[in-house]
This record gives sequence, C-alpha cells and structure tokens, in this order.
Amino acid sequence: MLFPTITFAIFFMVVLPISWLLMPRPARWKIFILAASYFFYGYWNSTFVLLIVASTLWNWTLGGAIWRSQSDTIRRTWLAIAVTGNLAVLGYFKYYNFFLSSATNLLNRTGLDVSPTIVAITLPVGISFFTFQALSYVIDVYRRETEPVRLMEFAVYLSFFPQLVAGPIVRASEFLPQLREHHDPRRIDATRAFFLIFLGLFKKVVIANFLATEIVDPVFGSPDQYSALENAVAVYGFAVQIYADFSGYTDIAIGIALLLGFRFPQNFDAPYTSTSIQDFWRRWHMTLSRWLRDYLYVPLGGNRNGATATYRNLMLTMVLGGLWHGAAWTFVVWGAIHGGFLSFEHWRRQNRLVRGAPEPSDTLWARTRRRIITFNIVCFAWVFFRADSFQNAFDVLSRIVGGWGEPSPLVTRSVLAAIAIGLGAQYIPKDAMGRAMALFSRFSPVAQGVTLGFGLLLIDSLGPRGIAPFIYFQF
Amino acid sequence: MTSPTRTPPPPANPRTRRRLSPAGNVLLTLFVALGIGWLLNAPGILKTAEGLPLGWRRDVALGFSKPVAKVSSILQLDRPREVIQRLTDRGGEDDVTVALPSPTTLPPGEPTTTTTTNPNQEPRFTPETPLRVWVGGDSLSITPGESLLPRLDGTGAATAVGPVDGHVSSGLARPEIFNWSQHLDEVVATHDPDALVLTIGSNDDQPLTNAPDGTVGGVGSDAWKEEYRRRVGGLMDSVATDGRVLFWAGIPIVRDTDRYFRGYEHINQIVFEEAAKRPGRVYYVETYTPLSDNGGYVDYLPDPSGAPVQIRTGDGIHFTRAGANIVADTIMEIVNEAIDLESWRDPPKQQPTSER
Repeated sequence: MLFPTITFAIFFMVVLPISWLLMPRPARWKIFILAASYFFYGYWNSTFVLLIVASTLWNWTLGGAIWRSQSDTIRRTWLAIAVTGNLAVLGYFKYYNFFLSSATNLLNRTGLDVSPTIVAITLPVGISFFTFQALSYVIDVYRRETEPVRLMEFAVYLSFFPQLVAGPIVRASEFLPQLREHHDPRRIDATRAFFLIFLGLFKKVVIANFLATEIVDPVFGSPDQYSALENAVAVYGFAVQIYADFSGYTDIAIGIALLLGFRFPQNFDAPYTSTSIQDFWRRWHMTLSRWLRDYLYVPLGGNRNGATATYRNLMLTMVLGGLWHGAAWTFVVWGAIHGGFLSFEHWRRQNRLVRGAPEPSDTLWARTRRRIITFNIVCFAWVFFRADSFQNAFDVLSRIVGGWGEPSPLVTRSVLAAIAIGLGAQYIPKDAMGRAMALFSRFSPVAQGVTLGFGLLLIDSLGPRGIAPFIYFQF
Repeated sequence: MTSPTRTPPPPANPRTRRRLSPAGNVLLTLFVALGIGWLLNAPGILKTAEGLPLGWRRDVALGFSKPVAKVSSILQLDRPREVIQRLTDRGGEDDVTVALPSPTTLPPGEPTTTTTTNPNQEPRFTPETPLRVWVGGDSLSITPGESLLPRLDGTGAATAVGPVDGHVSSGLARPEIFNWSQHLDEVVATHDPDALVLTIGSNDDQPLTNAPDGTVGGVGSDAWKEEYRRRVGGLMDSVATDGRVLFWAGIPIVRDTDRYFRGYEHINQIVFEEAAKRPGRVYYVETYTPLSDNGGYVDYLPDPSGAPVQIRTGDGIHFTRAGANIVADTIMEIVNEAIDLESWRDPPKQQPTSER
C-alpha cells in the first residue's frame, strides 16, 4: 500500500480512531495494530507477511537466548546465528542474482562460458529496513543495552506500518518504551503531523515525480541524446528528486506515527546545506548513518586504531552502505566515493591538528564555498547511484564535459523552478516553519480541514498522473 | 501503558508554541480535508477509479467517484483544478476519451501480403532533411527506445522528435486508462513525425473495455481477436497516413511462456497480419526470435564477442541494457530496409558528359 493513494487514506481513516479507542487497553491495541500492519504489508503481497512473521520469531527467540545465556561464548554463538540468519535472508532476496551475474561475468572473462538461469526472485518491499531493525534489536540485547521484550511487543516494533517499508530505521530502545507509555488522546501534536504529511506529499508527488518524468529519466535513459546543460541539470534534478522522494516518504511516515501517538527520530536535516561530506552524513538518512556508525563502523574499530585503520573502516562502512542501497557495482562506487571523501576530510583534519594550523574560517563566503563544493561532490556521486551501469554514468559525465552550446529543450523554467524550490526549501529558517505551525494550530478543526483540502488540490493537480513508487522501496 | 504522559515539551518560543489537539478534532480535520480534497479533485479521482483493474474494487470506486464528480461539477468545485491544469499546460488531462477508430482503408480479412519490407522505392533522407522519428509505447518501449535514439542519431539522417514517450501499464485493451489513439493523434498534430516506432501490446492480454458492445472478455477468443484486430487496424490507419510510416515492435518471448502463448502470441499475430495489409505504411518488427534461444526463453545470450550477457531483468519481461540494444538493432534493421538513411553518405555521382 502506498501512502499517497486513496486506498491508504481509507485504511488510515479506519485505523486511526480504532487505535485511539483501544489505546487504554494495551493488549488489545497491540493485537489490532499488528493486524493492521500485516494487512498494510500484505496488501502488496500477502505471502511476504510470512517473511515478517518468520523474522519476528527468529530474532525474538534468539534475542531471548542471548539474554538468558551467562557464557560469553554461547552468547556470541547465538548472536552469530541471529546475524547470519538475517543476512542470509537479505542476501537471498536482494543479492542472489547480483552475485550470480557478477560471478558469471568473472568466469566468462576467464574464458569459461557460463549462462546460469536467473531466478525470478521478488524483492520483498522494505526487507533492508526491517532486517536492520531486527539486527539492531539482537545486537542491543547482546550488548545488554536493551532488555528482551514480549513477543507481541517485538512483533509490533518490527512491523509497525508507518515505518515498515522505508524507514526511518527506528531502534528498539526508541520505540519499545513508547509502547509502555500512556498516550493521552487529548494531546496529539496534530499540527506538526499534518505539516509533515502534506509537505511530504508535496515533495513526493509534485517535486520528485515531476523532475523524474520531465528530465531525469529521459536524460539518464539516453544521455548521448541530450546537451551538456541537460545532462548537468538532470544530475542536479536527480539530487533534488531523490531528496524529495525519500525525505517526503519519511516525513509522511513520521507524521502518521505522530497521529497515532508515536515519535520517530528525524531522518533528514536540510542535507544540501552541508559544508562537508561528514556534515552531509549527519543530515542525510540520519537513522541509517547512525545504524552504520553504531553497528558497523564502531565495531570495526572506528577511529581508535590509527589513521590507516580509520580510513579502512570508513571505506568499508561506506562501501557496504552503498551495497545496502542496491545490488549493483554502481552503488559500491557511490559508497566508495563518499568513503574516499570522508577519509580525505579526516586526513585533512588530522593534518591540520598535527601542524597546529588554525580552524578553517567560518565566514559566510567560506561556508557558501564549502556548501557548493560539498553539494557538487554529492551530485557527482549521485550519478553512479542513479545510472544503470558504469557506461551510463560515464556517458552522463562525458556529455557534461563536452556537449555545451547545443539546444536544451528539457531545461524548462518549470524544471529549474522545481530544482530551485527543492534546494531553496532547505534554507527556510526553522523558526519560520514553527511560526506557521503555531498559527495553523490555532485554526478550528474545520478551518484546518479546509486548508488541508486545498493543499490536496494543489498536490493532486500539480503532480503528474499516476504515483511512481518511492525510490527507497527497492532498497 | 501506565507510566506518566511524556508529551514532547512545547517549544520555548511562545510564537512557535503549538496547540495540541484531541483525537476527535484530528479525525474531524482529516474528514473535512479528505472530503474537500475529493470534491476539488473529483475529475482526477474519477479517472483514477476508471483505470483500476476490472473487478469489484473498480466497481466500488466508481460507485463513489461518479456521484462525487457530479456534485463537484454542479457546484463548480472542479473549476480550480481545471484552471491549475490549464495554467501548467496540462488542460484536458482528466478527460476520459474511450473512442477508438476502426480501420478505414481495408476490410478485415486475410493479409494481402506477408512481406514486411517496402515493395516500393525507399524514401531517402539526408542530414539536411532528416527522418523525424517518434519513439514510444508501453513500459517495454522505454529501454529499447533509449537504445534506439542514439542509433537513429548515428545514421546522420534521422532525428528523434523528443524523448521516449513511454506510458507504463498502457495498451489498447483499456482506453480509459490511456487512449493511444487520441495520444498519437496529438503526437502527429504536434510533431508531425515522418515515422513512429511503437511498442504496445504487453498489457493487452486482458478483457477489452469500451468495445462497441461493452467489454469483450476471453483473451484469444474469436470475439476478442476481432475487437483487438479492429483496434490495431484502426490505430494503424489513423497514424500511417500522409506518407507517415509506422514501425510496430512485437512482444518478445517472456519467462512465463504460458502467458506468451495464452495472449501475446495472438496479439503478435494480429499486429503482424494487420501490418502486412498495409505494405509500405506499417512494418512489423519481430522481436521474439532475436531474444530467444531456439525459440525458448533465455536470460543470457552471447554478445558480439561470444560471451554470455544478461538480456532480461529479474521479472522475465523487461530488458537489461544489453537486451534493449538487441531490440533496438532489430528495429534499426527494419527501418533501414524500409527507409534510405545511408545513401546520403555516397559521393555524388558524376554526370556523364556527352561527346560530340
């Protein structure tokens, strides 16, 4: 079920009142919300509900076993089994054909003619997200940072429908305590929720879909057919598209959870205002960055074992983070570009410390220069993220270098306006948004509804026909 | 859920402090928003309902959407949407046009010829007067179309009139979802292409709605084939006029061979026969053979160097870039047989001088 559909609107209008009515009876509420979440997921493919059920049972059972064991060796063994099981399922559904075709290509290059049959594997929506949440639970239990919970609570945590298919990646320690809180039905932060939902819809339906259909898809489809300007604008367009698409989705998810009385962590914080790649990863897909830091980078040694080990750990974390996004070598390169620049920034920082050089200046001009450089590095990496092959990526880049002066009919005022809105919105002061929300919260419920109704008019009439799937669904 | 309330603390700045709402008010706001939103967007929602797969969900959706659209129209609440769409050059997008033309030139019957090459002299194009080509169709047109554009460009005597005009989930079976006849009329009126490369059919193995006698079910039945033939022939005749040439790419073998032989084979046969009735105007591009191995479905085929490359995506229907290149090459072969895009490269012939 996709958020920007009538089907979801009907589903939510049924779930919301029942959820609040059942809140005072936690046991019944949990059964209800679990059933609603399974229905939400099963609406797309009912078979894969069994996968979530299996993942729930597997991780809950092993989490309990880890907690109960007193021997470190046994605890480590249970943890290894739990992690291996999760990665095996993820590997089969997401990476089987990728590794098969990579191995085939390698064998063919060595002169062996191999043509295996590609297995028709349907990728379960959101598998990367709920697998990472399950992993965080068993690892936190192993670290004694989270106590095991009852099966029903864990099932609700893993399948809670607002974040089930594309995050944000909520930790057990953030969600499970909320299950035990009293949720007051008279005090819902509805204004913030409505703003998040409607701005999320606008970002997804109007900005992301418009840029995809008007410039990004055609240019990345056949870059040779388009001018340097069109290729360059398509790259910037994709940067805005993926931000609007993914942050739009998580805004909606956070807003829906808020209406149900749950708080999710922030996932984006104006990422294109970043002044360095490190800053970018503190603002982009923050819940994934945090996950990679705590469950991969730090266990690898982080920056504790000298410069070389730090660079290796950064590269490894980012390359695996790239591969998490998609089963293709282009994603590995995307991760490697980010890992490379993170390592470079780390080296420069260390070098400055060793030399006793002063901190870089923090004037407006210096910040602007750093923002422009960072944004362009991020956009350069996006080329590999979006391209369907290295050839495709190189075609886009080579056209940008050498196709200037040709007519550029795809670079319309509307396309430039959409990019400008997508980038400019990140510079809106938080205070201005806060004041708008405060004003809206003083409207009567009917006036709020009428305002939002006109918001729906704008979103639906400005957006292209049909709802393209969210980009991050495939991850 | 017994511990004390932990509502997020209100922001310190009084100007940004929000009022919290009771659940009843939230529901009321949502009902009003969705109700007003539905009335204001009624024509678009009705069109979405029309496009749902045939069945009870569509019936229910139409049962609600039609009266709301009527109320919206009476109260003129659909006007703001119309104005916004007109201002953004998308006027008429909510209109549902289901009329499909019938063949005009030939009565239905057996093909008069089975050749797909132009029996007449090939039209000649040059860099100064290039062949202007439109490329589009359903989702199967998109990657092959992207591969075809540089190939056309590479001839030096052909140019695309725009990006690949792909419309996913479209075809001739459900004109209420996307009316190809109407769309191609607009393409011809706007771009006046010399040639069109069209790929549709892979979504048409389903009942045909909006036929003269209602919906025609039974994919592959005589009645279904007759109606589908009428749609194919009608589309060909409406497009391939005034010297304009249509290249119609057939459906390749798919991993679900049952699906192919239950529906796609009939569709390919009808398109092939109807193209053959219009020699010199419509060319059928057969894609089954170049993408199969001895008639069977394969994921890999040898590339020019002999090494196997993956040609189909995981769904067993769509193409990888390598597969799309094979389709594009196959289309180019037929285009080059039909239209002269090469002779402009030949050096001009010396006029024989007569000796007295």
